[in-house]
Amino acid sequence: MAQIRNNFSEWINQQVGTTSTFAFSDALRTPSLSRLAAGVFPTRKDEEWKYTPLSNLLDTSPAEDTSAALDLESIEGLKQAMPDAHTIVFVNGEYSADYSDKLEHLGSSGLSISHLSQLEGNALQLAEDTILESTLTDDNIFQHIALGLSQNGLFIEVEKNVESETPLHIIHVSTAHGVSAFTNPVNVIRLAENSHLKIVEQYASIGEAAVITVPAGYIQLDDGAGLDYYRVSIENAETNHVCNTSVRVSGSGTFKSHQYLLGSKLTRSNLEVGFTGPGGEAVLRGVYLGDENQHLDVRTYLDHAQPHCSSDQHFRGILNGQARGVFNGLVLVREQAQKTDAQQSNKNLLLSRDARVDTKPQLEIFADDVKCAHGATVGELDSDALFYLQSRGIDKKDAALMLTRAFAAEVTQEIDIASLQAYVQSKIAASLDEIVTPNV
Amino acid sequence: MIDESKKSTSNNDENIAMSDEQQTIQNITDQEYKYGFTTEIEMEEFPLGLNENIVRMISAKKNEPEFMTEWRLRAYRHWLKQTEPKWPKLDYPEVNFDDLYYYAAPKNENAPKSLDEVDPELLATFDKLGVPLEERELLAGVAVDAIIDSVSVATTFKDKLNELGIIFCPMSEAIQDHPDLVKKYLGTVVPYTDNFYATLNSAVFSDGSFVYIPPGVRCPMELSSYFRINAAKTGQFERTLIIADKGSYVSYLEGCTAPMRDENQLHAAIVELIALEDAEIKYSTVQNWYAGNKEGVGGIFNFVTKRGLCSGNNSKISWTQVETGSAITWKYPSCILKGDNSVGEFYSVALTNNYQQADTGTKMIHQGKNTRSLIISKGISAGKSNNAYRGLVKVNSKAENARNYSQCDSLLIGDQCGAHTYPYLEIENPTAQVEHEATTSKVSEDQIFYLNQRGISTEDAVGMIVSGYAREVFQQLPMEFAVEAQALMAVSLEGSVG
Repeated sequence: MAQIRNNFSEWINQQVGTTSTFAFSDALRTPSLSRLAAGVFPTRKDEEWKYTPLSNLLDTSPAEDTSAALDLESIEGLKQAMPDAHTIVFVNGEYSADYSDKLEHLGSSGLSISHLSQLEGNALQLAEDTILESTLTDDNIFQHIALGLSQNGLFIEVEKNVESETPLHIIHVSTAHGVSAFTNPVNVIRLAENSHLKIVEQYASIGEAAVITVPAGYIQLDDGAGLDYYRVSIENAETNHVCNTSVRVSGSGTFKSHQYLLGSKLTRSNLEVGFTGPGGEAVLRGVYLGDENQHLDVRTYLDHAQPHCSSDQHFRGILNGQARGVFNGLVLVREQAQKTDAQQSNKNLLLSRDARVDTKPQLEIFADDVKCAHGATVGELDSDALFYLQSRGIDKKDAALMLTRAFAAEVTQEIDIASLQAYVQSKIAASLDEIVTPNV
Repeated sequence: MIDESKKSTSNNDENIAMSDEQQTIQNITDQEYKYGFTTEIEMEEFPLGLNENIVRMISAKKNEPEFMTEWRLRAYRHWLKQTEPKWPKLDYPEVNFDDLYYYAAPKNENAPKSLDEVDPELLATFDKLGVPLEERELLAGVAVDAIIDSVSVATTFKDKLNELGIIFCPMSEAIQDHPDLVKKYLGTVVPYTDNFYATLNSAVFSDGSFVYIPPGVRCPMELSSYFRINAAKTGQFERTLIIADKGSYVSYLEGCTAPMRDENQLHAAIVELIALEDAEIKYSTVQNWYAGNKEGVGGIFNFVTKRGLCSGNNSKISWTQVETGSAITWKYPSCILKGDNSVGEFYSVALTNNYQQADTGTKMIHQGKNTRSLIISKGISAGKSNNAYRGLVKVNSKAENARNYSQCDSLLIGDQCGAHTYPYLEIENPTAQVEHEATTSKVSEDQIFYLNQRGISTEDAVGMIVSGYAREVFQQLPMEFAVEAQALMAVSLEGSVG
C-alpha cells in the first residue's frame, strides 16, 4: 500500500530528473526542485490540510501519452461562455495554436501576451520577479511543482493607463482517455498603473481519465490597476485539481476574483492576496457545488500589511451526496494596517444526509482601528420558505430548486460579464436539476 | 538598553500630545497586580522532578486505593509518550518538567472540622483575598471548599449539604469515602489519554473538589471553591469532578488569585462535569492569577482541561468564565451534548493586558438529537497582549436538528495588542443550523466623546464601555461572582477609574 501511495511523488521525482525544457530559469527552479526532492506532501496532520486528504491524488500515477482526439464542437461549446473574448486554448497543458485566437496583433493595444517558455533576458527576469514578489507563503509543495516543473504558461502584461476592453478567455481542456495525465500551467500577470483587464480562466475535461491539474497564477497590480479574475472549473469526476494564486496589490489597486468550483473529484484552491500599499482593495467571491464524493476546498489568505485597505470575501457552498466542502479563510491585519476594512462570509447549504462542511473563517488582528467581521452559517433549506412557495402552488422540487439557485445567485449576480454570468448560472442550474430531488 | 532610553525620550515628547484616551491606555497598561503576597505556612514538599516513584509517593501519601495508584501510573506512562502541544497561538519559554515540585501540602494536615481548627494564618490569607469564610458562611450562604496549594483545609456547610445527600468534599476525601463513585466517573469525560496537560494532571493531581448531587435534588446554595497557588515552584494539579444525577441542579463557583512570584508557575487543572438525565450544571469561574509584571516576567502558566458531558436527555451544562489573570491561558471549557435535547452554553470574558497571552474558547460537540448550544465570547486585549478565541462546533451525522449560535467579539485597547478568532465548524448533518459571527472593534473616540460631554471622565467612560461590552456574560454569573467580576474588571481597568 505504501508503494501505491507514493505514485505521484515518485512520478514527480522522475520529472525532476528529466531534461525537458522548462518555463523558468534554473535560478528560480533550483530551490523548488530541492523542495520537490524532499518530496513531503502534506497530511491531515498539517493544519492547512486538516480536512482535505490527498490520498487519491497521491495514488494517481500520471502517464506520458495522454493524447486523444479533440473535436471542434467541444471547444466551441467551451468558448460559448465568452463569445466576445480573446480566446487562448491549452489542450492537455499544451498551447493550441489551432484553437486559439492570434495574439501577436494585441501588442499595439497595450495588452501583450507571451509564452513563458519563449521568454528570455529582461522579460523572463520581470516574469520571475513578479512571481517572487507576489508569493506570500512558500510552504505549499504544489507551488513548487508549478515553479519547478512547469514547461509553459502565459506572461500577460497590460501597459500603463490601458483599459483592456475585451476580456481574455483562457481555456484549459483535458482530453485524457484511459491513462492519467498531469498538467501544470502557470500564468504570470502584471498590470501597470491604472490599467484594467478581465480574465476568465476555464478548466474543463473532455476525456474521462484522471487528471492531476496543478496550475499557478502570479499577479501583480500596480497603483490604480484593476483586474477581474474569474475561474470556472468544471472538470470530470476523476480529476484532482490543486491551484495556487498569489496576488500582490500595490497602492490603490483593485483585485476582484470569482471562483466557481463545480466539478472534479478533489479541488483545492489556495488564494493569497497581499497589500503592499495603502488603499488597495480585494473582492473575493466563490461558489462550490459538490455532489457524490466530491471534495471542494477553498483556502484564502489575506495579508493586510498596509493601512486603508479593504477586503471583502463571500463564499457559498452547496453540497449533496457524500460531498464535502471546506472553507478555510484567514485575514491577517498587521500592526501598521490601521483603518483596515475586512469582511469575510461563508454560507453553506447541505442538501443530503451525508454531505459535510468544515468551515474555519479566521481573523488575526494586530491593529486596533479596524473594522473586521466574519460570519459563517451551515444549514439546510429553510422549511418556511419551502412551505411558502408550496402554498403558492409551486411543487416541492421546483420550490427547492428556486431556493437553491437563489442561494448561488447571491454570488453569481455579481459577475459583470453577461455571457459568463449566463453560462455559470446555467451550469449551476443544470447541476442542481440533477441534485435536487422532490424529497429534499 | 539604548533602544529603551531612546523610547523614553520620544515618549516624553509625545506625552504632551497624548490624548486622554492614550493616557487611559497608559494607565491601564501600568496597572500592577493587586493581590501579590505570600502566606508563610510551612510546606511539605517532595523532591524535584517526576518519575514513577513520585507518582507512587503522591498516591501513597493520600492513602489511595490501588485502582487509583494504577490509574495514575498508567497516565504517567502515557504522558512520557506525549509531547507538549505547539498549535496554540502562545509564545512562552519551554517548561522544564523536571524542575517542578509535584506535591506540596501545608504541614498541619489534621483535617479541621470547624473554622476554629483552621490555621489562623490561612484565614488571614482569605481575608486579604476578600473571602472571609465566616462571613460567607453567615451572610452569603456559600459553602467554600478552600484549597491552599494542594490539600483542602476548610470545608463548610457540610452538614447542611449532608442532609440533602449532597456530597461536596475534597477529591482526596472522595477517593477514601466514595471510591465507587470516583471509580465510576473519574476520567470518563477527560480520559487520562486526553492531552499532554490532562495526562500529566491524571498522574500527579493533588486534590480538588468532588461534588455529587443525588437525583431530584436542587442544591440550595452556590458551591464555591477558592484556589490559590502558594508555594514557590509548585505545579498545581487540581482535579474537580461534578456529577449531577437525574433531575438535579447545581451551581458551582470557582475563583482564584495567586501571590506575586517572579518564577513562572505551572497550573494544569482538570474539571469534569457529568449531567445525567434532566440535570443541570452551571459552572462559573473568575480567574485572576498573577499575570506577570509589566515586562511580562513571571505569571502563571494556566493549561486547563475543562469538559462537561451532557450524558442524559434534557440535560444542560453552562460554562461562564471571566479570565483576567495568568501569563498564559490555555483553556477550552467544552460540552459534549450526548443526550437528546441537551443544551450547552459558554459565556466568556477574557481580558489580557501587558504581555499576557490567552488562547481560549470552547468546543460544542453535538451528538444527540435536538441539541442546542450557545457561545458568547468577549475578548478584550490591551497593552502588548494577545487574545485568541479558538472554538469548535461539531455536529455529528446522527445529531438531528442541532442548533448553534456563536458570537465572538474582540475589543482592542491600544494599537500594540492582538485579537484573533479561530472558529472551526464541522457539520455532518444537513438538519443542523449553525451560525457564527465575529466582530472586532475598539473603544471609539465617538463613544468616549459622547460620555465625556455628559460629564463622565475618560477613565470612567472606558470602564463603562468595557463593562457594557461584557455585560451579556456578567449577567450569567451568580450574584456574588458578578460583584467580584465587576470589581476585577474595575481593577484591571483601574487607571481609567481613577
